[in-house]
Amino acid sequence: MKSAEASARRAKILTQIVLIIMAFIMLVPFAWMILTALKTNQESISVNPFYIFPHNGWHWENFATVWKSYNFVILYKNTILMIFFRVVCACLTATMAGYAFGRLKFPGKKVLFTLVLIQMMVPGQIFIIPQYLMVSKMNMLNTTFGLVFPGLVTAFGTYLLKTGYEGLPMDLEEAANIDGCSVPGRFLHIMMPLTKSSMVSLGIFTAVFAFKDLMWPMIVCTNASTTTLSAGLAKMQGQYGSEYPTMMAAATLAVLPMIIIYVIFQKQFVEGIATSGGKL
Amino acid sequence: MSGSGGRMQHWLQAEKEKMRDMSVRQKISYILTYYWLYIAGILTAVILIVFFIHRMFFSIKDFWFYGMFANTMENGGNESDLWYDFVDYADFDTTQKKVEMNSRTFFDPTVSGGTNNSYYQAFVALVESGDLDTVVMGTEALKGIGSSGRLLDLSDEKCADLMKKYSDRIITCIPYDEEYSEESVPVGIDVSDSLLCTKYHLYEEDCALGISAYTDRIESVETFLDFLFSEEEGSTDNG
Repeated sequence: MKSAEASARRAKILTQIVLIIMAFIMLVPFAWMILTALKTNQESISVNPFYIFPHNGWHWENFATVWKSYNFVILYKNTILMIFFRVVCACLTATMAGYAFGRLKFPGKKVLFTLVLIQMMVPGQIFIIPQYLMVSKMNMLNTTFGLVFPGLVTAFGTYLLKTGYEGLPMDLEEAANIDGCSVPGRFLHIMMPLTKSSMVSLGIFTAVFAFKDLMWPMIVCTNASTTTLSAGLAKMQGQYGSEYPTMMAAATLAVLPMIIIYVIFQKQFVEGIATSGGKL
Repeated sequence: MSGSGGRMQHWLQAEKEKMRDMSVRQKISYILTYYWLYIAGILTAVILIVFFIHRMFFSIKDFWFYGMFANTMENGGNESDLWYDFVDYADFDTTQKKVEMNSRTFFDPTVSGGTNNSYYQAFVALVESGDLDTVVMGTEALKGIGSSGRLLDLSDEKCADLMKKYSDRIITCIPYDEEYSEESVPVGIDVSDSLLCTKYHLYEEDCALGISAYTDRIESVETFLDFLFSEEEGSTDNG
């Protein structure tokens, strides 16, 4: 009995050691980014493996250099606005479409939902040219609306929310129906609050994908005043191609919003990944 | 149809009956209490439809000119000196059509993995949308794009004037598509000594201009080239 307990304990300790090592490995690139941001250029390109920490002092001025070179306030503002509106629009449209597909009966429902699924099956790049043309023809290039446009609706979100609504018991809605609640009332007051976890998952996925989106901001926002962090960072890669400390300082500044969002919504992030089975 | 129409009529009748003895204030309160969701939904839909229709039909859709300046650190984008000078030179009315310039792009299709980056994909999207007119970049990189078939073959008859005017500046490359041609095809115009380098300092080494394969604004491209080689005051300023 004692031997079984000791064996289980040993297995638990071993598992934890492996997990700690894995967590450490995952953190190395992040730590490397911050440490490189504080080195001189010479130190950053040194192949000496013992040059992990800066030897000639901590060069915080690298942050000041990129902060002065690029208007980070504008980059943060544009990125946060894009993320906010994309999340709001995605949750709003996906929850309504998901409810309609999951709960309502209407002609052509299967055909329409098949179209939604087809949209998920084809690569997103296919939609870039038509979407660009729509934004261009509306004279919305270099605007926040232009940045948000592809995120107004989401096929993945519709599918996710449809699944969420289908998983809810019919009795709830039937009871509301008997009490005289209208379809919008049932949706807003009864069903939608019950899909909160799916909506949070969708919001997190949308926020992360919006933050990482590089190609769309590069196409629709050619002005420095309207671009986002990802596109701004890509430009820095061109400008500071050989100055790794400056580039890493810019990268560190760029990931700050996502770190803040993660710290605030840590619980929801974990729950979101668990409930949707998705990968960020 | 008649079923749902009948139901609607029955419902309207019932609602009218309910509100018959109510004052106007009570009627408004009743409607807002029970139908605010419908009203909000309809209002939102109407606002969105009006917005999209307005933007679609009453905004500036077309371009006078759309030029891309790749691989430069200088600002040659919208509302830069280059932009203002060109608009003045061409006398374009920007309230009618747009003049777009993009100098925030970095790609080189001739290097390994050069066609995998997002900048190149964004460039391809702009070419294929038909909006982009010209791209300026280093001569070798431009030849790489020319070989991929994304640039206009300047031997095309619509470029006859350009070919005649800039015959001593033509850049050629061999297309990857052997069915198209196995010999060199003219795809660019050398602009290394143009205002782009001498006045605006967008490029320090040799550079060339290519015309998008899908543009139909050759006249604007000609105007832009005329502008680049115009003898403006200060054009020989070497900084």
